[in-house]
Amino acid sequence: MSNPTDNNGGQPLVQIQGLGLSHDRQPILEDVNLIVEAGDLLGIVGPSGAGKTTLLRTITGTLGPDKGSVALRSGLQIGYVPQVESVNWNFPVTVRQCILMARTSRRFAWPTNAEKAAVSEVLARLGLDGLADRHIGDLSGGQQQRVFIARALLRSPDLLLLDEPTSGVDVALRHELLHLLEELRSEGTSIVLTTHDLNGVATHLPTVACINRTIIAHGPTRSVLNSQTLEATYGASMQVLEHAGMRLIVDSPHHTHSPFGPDPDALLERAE
Amino acid sequence: MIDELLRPFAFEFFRNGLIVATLAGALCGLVGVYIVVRGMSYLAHGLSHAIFGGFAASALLGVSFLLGAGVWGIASALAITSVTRRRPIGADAAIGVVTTASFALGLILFALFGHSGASFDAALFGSVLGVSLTSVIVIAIVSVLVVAIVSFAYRPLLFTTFDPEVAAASGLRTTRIEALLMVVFAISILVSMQVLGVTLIAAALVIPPTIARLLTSSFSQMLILSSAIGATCGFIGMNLSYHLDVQSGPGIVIVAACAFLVVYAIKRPIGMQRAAA
Repeated sequence: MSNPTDNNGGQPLVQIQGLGLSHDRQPILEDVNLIVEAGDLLGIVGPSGAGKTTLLRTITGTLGPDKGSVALRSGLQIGYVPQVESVNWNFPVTVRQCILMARTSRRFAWPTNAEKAAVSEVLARLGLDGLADRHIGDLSGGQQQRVFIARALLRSPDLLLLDEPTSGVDVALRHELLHLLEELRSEGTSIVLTTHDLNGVATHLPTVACINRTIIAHGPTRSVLNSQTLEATYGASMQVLEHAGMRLIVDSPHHTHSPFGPDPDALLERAE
Repeated sequence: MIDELLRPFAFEFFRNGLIVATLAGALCGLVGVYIVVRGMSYLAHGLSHAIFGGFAASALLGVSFLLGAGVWGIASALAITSVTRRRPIGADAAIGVVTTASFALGLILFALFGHSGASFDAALFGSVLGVSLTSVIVIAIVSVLVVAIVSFAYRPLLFTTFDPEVAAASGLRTTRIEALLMVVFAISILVSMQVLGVTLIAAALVIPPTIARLLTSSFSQMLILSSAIGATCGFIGMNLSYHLDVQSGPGIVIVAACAFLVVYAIKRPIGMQRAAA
């Protein structure tokens, strides 16, 4: 993997200006402006339906903008990791076959020696040695996630896009995954991911963009993740707490009711 | 006994029919893999019915069956692809609309202008009679062509079938690849229809891949196994149909169905094995 900062002369990897996109006359994205620089590890957060996945799709080029522009640095290689929930795990492919799909420059089934070596290298890099001939459905949740990252890495991407990589994974797996992404970034791969995991973002990601159809805020995580920005993004009150040097984001309790349901004493009084 | 088994080989029509049935079995087994792994088994049933409309129209117009039904089949396949892309219509509904309309049109054309004799039955259930050397040559050419496409475009076809969104994001022209696959399906069904028949060709497209899936979790192995199973079922089924004096389609399909039952009994789904352990 080459360091993307080596030869780009400071040009951003992705420059999105005034992006607007609608579906069935319903706006999904409006006047989105976002820059992804080489070396970024950027989390995109926002409520369901905020346009996070759509934004990634405009970067990959599978969706074209109705308004504005998405400019990619010349020759930019993108690796895309979809949501694992969308994968058909009964599909008859082995780990090796799944990873080799990414090498679209070669069309035949059988890999070259160079491809075999590249697959072995990326499997070892992601701790998947010895699993090349296993069916993808036979792997654990963490291994399955890493197979799809391995497939994206086989393209030697400058920019890795991950759609909800922390969705539906347990705490240990989430930590493992976010540490892996930090490592990949330190090796020169720029990363953009969408997530609902605000605490994971607060702990592991240096930059964040809050989106709800448009970019509400974008910048260093510590300055962006505050109560005002989160309320503007999610339309719900949230508190940002500092604990042992870490930033924690919690839902604010409802002003009139207990978050744990009606007051049992009040219910008893009414019953009497 | 051996003499009795070899007796039909003395007839040219049977030898031609046997070659076509074996090649049709292999061809349907090969392309059927792409249909089964997409969960589009209904497509196999629908597309063959759609082609029946073309069969009736070509009989009416007096043009070559391969030309008339071929154009009709490819148009139906592309129409399905086009309708599917328009949300919120799903693939199953698109197949239902396009193919049943085409089949109904074929039935009307036959009722108004055609003749419901031997050719009508042959179209529905398959027939070894009338399999000419030309039929052998046509299916041989189509088989070579389809094997070449599946081999040369193996990774793009697999990527688009498995993960169309990421395939498109990786620069593959998935719309074109989808259209190519649909044309391959239509042509394969077209050249196999003569011996398998409209009503039973879906079994030749679905059963061999399903058996192969029980035997392997590797896509490339599934392609090879499914083709081999399809060819074997075509060969044995054609012989069976001669000796039982039944149409070729049912003979081939019943052999495939028996093969499925045997393999299913031996290779129970993994979940069942674990439950029994």
